[in-house]
Amino acid sequence: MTPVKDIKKKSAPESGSNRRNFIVSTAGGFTLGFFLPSGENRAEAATLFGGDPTELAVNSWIRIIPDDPNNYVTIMFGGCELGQGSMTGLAQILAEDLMADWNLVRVEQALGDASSPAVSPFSNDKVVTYPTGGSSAIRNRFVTLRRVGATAREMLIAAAMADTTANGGGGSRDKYYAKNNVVYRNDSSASWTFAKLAAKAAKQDSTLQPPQPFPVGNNNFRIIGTPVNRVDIPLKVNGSAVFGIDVQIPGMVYASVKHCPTIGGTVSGTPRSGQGTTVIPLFATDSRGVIVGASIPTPPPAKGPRYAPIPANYTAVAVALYDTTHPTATYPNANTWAAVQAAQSAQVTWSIPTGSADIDSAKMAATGKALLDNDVVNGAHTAVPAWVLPGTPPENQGYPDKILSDPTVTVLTSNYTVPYLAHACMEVVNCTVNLTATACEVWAPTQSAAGAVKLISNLTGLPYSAITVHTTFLGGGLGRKIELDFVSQAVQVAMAIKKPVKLVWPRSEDFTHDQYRPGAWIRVSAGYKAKDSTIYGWKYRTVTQSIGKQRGNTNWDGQTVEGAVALHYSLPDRYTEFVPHPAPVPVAYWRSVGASMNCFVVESMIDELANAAVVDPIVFRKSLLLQKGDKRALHVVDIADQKSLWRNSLPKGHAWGIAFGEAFATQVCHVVEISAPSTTSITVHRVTTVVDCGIMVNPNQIEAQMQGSIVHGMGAALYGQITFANGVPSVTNFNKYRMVRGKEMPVVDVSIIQGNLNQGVDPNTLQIGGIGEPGVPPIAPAIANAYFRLTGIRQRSLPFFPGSTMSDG
Amino acid sequence: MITLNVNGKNYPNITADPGTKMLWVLRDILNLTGTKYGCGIEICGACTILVDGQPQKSCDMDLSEGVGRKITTIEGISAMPNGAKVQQAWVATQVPQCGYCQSGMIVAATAAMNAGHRGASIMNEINNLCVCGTYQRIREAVSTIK
Repeated sequence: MTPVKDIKKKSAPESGSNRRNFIVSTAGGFTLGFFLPSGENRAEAATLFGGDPTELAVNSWIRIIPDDPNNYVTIMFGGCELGQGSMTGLAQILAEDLMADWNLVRVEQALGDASSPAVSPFSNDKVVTYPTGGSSAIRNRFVTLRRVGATAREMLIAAAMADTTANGGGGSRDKYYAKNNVVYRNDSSASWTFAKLAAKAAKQDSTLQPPQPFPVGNNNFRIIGTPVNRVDIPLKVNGSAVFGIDVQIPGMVYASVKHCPTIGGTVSGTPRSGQGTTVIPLFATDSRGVIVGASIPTPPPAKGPRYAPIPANYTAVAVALYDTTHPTATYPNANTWAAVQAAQSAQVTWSIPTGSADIDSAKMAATGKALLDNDVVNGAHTAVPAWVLPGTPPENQGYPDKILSDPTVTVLTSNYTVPYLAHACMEVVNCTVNLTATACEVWAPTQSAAGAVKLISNLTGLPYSAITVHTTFLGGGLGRKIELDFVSQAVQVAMAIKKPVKLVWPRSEDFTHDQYRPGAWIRVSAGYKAKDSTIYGWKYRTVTQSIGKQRGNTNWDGQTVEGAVALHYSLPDRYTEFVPHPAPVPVAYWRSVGASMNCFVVESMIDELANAAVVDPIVFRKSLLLQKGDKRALHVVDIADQKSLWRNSLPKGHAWGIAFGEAFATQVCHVVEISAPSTTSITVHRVTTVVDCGIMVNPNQIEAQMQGSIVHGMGAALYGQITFANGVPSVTNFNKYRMVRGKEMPVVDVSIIQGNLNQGVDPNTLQIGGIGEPGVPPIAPAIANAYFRLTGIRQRSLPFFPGSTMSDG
Repeated sequence: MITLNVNGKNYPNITADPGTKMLWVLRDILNLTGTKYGCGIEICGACTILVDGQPQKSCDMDLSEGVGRKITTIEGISAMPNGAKVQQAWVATQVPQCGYCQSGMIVAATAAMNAGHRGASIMNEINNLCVCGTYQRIREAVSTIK
C-alpha cells in the first residue's frame, strides 16, 4: 500500500451522509478517497461498533494507475464480505456514474490501516473501514458512492480538457463525455483512457460539482440493477478464498481457548496445562473486546504491562501450543486441533458467581411470564426503569383501553414466546496476530475492522498508526463477528507469549460462549368485529433483554421493539411497550435483530384476528394497509397475492400462509406452502417472495439473500433454540442445533419490485433498503399461519420442534 | 514418518502423531486450507475430501488411515473432469454466498457425479450443511451439469 504523501483538506466537513470528497495525491497515481457514513445514526453506530461519532474517517476509495495498459479501475472495499455480496454491489454503484467498464473494474479488500491513502485529513490516527451490520452496506452508501463516482468522472474529464489542443484538449465541458473507462470528445476527434488521464486527474479539483450529479437516470442504469457475477465467487469454488481460519504467518503458534462451562465463571487459582504448551489466563472483555474489571488500570500505562494479573478477573484460559516437531521432519507438527485439545485438557478451577444460576431457562420463563402478567398503567409502570422511557417512548396512540372495552368489540389476547438463538456461523471465531514492540498486524474475520483497531490500541498501547487489521473473508457473520471478544483474546495471547499466534475456538466454545439472540415473552391484546377487516385497539408488550442496555447504553433501546412499532397496518389506537427482562444472558445482534422476534408475533396475531373475524388473511391485511393509506406496502402484498394464486388449488393435506414485514427499510412478503407436519418437521414446498428494497443493485444477489434468509429463518422457526440450565447452555455442536439441509429446501420464487423507484423518488434523497436481513423475519409467521390453516393449531411458541437433533451428514 | 499422496503429489516425512485428524494435517501441516473445519463431529460436511475417490469427512479420519491412498481435496478437484464441471456450474449459477461450506459441497457433488448420479439425484447424495442457505442454487447448478 502506498503511504500517504500529501493530503489536502479541500473544504469544511458536511454533516450527515453528504460528506465531501477529497483527493489524495500519491506518487503520481489517481486515488480518490471519500467518506461513507457508517450508520443511519452515526452516534448510534459509534456506540454499537466502537467508532467515534465525530470522526470523519475515509473508508473506501478508487484507484487508477497512470498509464496502466489494462486501463483498470480498482475499487477498495472497506466493509467485509460475509456472503451478502456487498463487495460486488458497492463496486457496481461506484462504477455506474464513473462511467466505468464493469469488465475493467477490480475490487480489493481495504485494510484497517492508518497508513493507507485513505486516512482522515483531520488526524493521523483514523481508521479506514466501516462496520458491516444492520443491512447497511448498500442502503447507507448508495447516494454517496454515486456522487463519488460522478466526481471522479468529472476529474478525469477535466484532465482531458486540460490536455493540449493538439491532443484534442481544450474547449468546454459539454464537448466531452465518458464511457467505459474512456473519455471522448463528442465529435470522436479524440479519446483518452482513464489510465492515461490518471496522473493529470489527480491534480484536478475534487470539489468539482458535476454538471449532472447523476447523469444516469434511475431507469437507465448500465451496471446498477444488473445481475453481474460476484467478484469473490471464483475464489470460493477452488479453495483459494482466505477466511480468517486459513491465515498462516511465519513462526505462528497455535492457540485455543477454554471458557468456564458455566457462563460468568472465572478462573480461580493457577491453571495448568501439559508439556509443550503455555497456559495464558485471559481477562474478561466487554462486547467490544476491551478488558473489563476494576483492577485494570485506567488508562493503561503507556509502557510495560497493560494490566495487573489478578486471577479473579480471568474468565478463560488460552493454551498456546509450541511446535515439538522432530528437527529432521519436512513439515511442522503443530496444528489447530492439538491446541484445541491442549486447551480443553487444561486443568482449571473455576469460581462461579451466584448470578450464573439465574441463567436458567425455567427461571427465565417464569420471570418473563410474570412480567407479562404485571399490569401496566400507560406511562407509569413502576417496574420500568427510567432508562427505558427517555428518548423514544413506546408507541402510545389514540385510546386503546377505551376501544378494547367497547362492548361491541371482541378482544383476543395471545401470549407468544421466542427462544434464545445461537449464531452458529460455519466458520468458528478466530484471529491471527503478529505483535512486535512497535507494531501490531491482525487478520480476522471481523464485521468491525475499525473497532478492532481501537481495541488493539487499547490493549497494547500502540497508536492507531502502528496497527493494521486485515479483514479476511468471513465464513458467515450473522452478527456474531461484530463482536471483538475473540480479537481481544488473540491479542492478549500474543502479548503474553510474544510470538505470532493464531487463536481458534472449537465449535463447542463457539456454541457455549456465543452472545445469543435474546428470547422474548410477548403478549398482544387486540379487538375485532366479525366480518370486519379493522383492528379495534392493539396493546403489545414484549418482555426481553436489551442488548444495548447490557452494553451500557443509556438511551432507549429501539431494537427491542423493531418490527412491532411503525407498523404499516392501520392501528390508530395502540400501545406498544418494552419491559426489560433481568436475565444476565450475554445477548447480541442476530440477523434482523428485534424484527426476528416481533415480526413473528405481529404477523401471527394479524392472522389470528383475521381468522377470528372470518376474513381471508390477505384481504384482511390489504384492508388494513388501505386504511392506513400505505401504498407501497399495499403494493408489496398485492403482488404477493397475485403471484401466489397457486394457493387456491393446493392438493389435500397442503396449506398456505402469508406474512409481511419490514426491516432495514426493505419490505418483504412471503407466501408459503406446507404439508406433512410430523413430530420432527414440516415440509415447506415453496415460498413465493415479494421484496421491495427501493432501487435494486444486483437482482441476482437480492434473490440469493431472499433464498438464504428463508433457509436461516426457517431453521430458526422449526428447530432453533438454546436453553440454559443453572448457567450452562444446552448446545455444544450442530448435533443439538438442527438447521435446514438441502433436502428440506423449498422452491423459492422471488419477485423484486422497486416501489421507491416507481414512485419517482429523487435519487438525491433516495431511501434504499437493506437486503441481508429483511427476508428473515416474515418466514416464521408465514409457516405458523400455514400450520394453523392446515391443522387448526396456533403455534405461539418457537421453535416448532424444541429439542431437535441433527445427525450425520 | 508418513507419506501422504494428496492431489497426485507425494508429501513425505510427515512426523505428526498418526492419530492426528486428516483435516488438520491438510490444513495446518500441508497448508491446503481449502478443506474447512465446521463441526469436528462429521455432521456438517465442510471437511469432505475424497479418499480413493470416495467422499469422507476428514475431521474424523486419522492421518494413519491416509497412508497408501489417493487423497483429493478441493485444491485438486479441477483435475477430475466432473470436478471441473461442478466448479464451472457453481460459478455460472453463482452458488456461493459466504463460501465457507462450498469446498465440501463441491467435493461431495463431484463424488456423486463420479458415482454416476446426475441432476436431482446428486442432491440426494449431498447432505452437507450450508448456513447461508445456497441449496436452491446448488439444485439449479447440478441440474445444468451434463
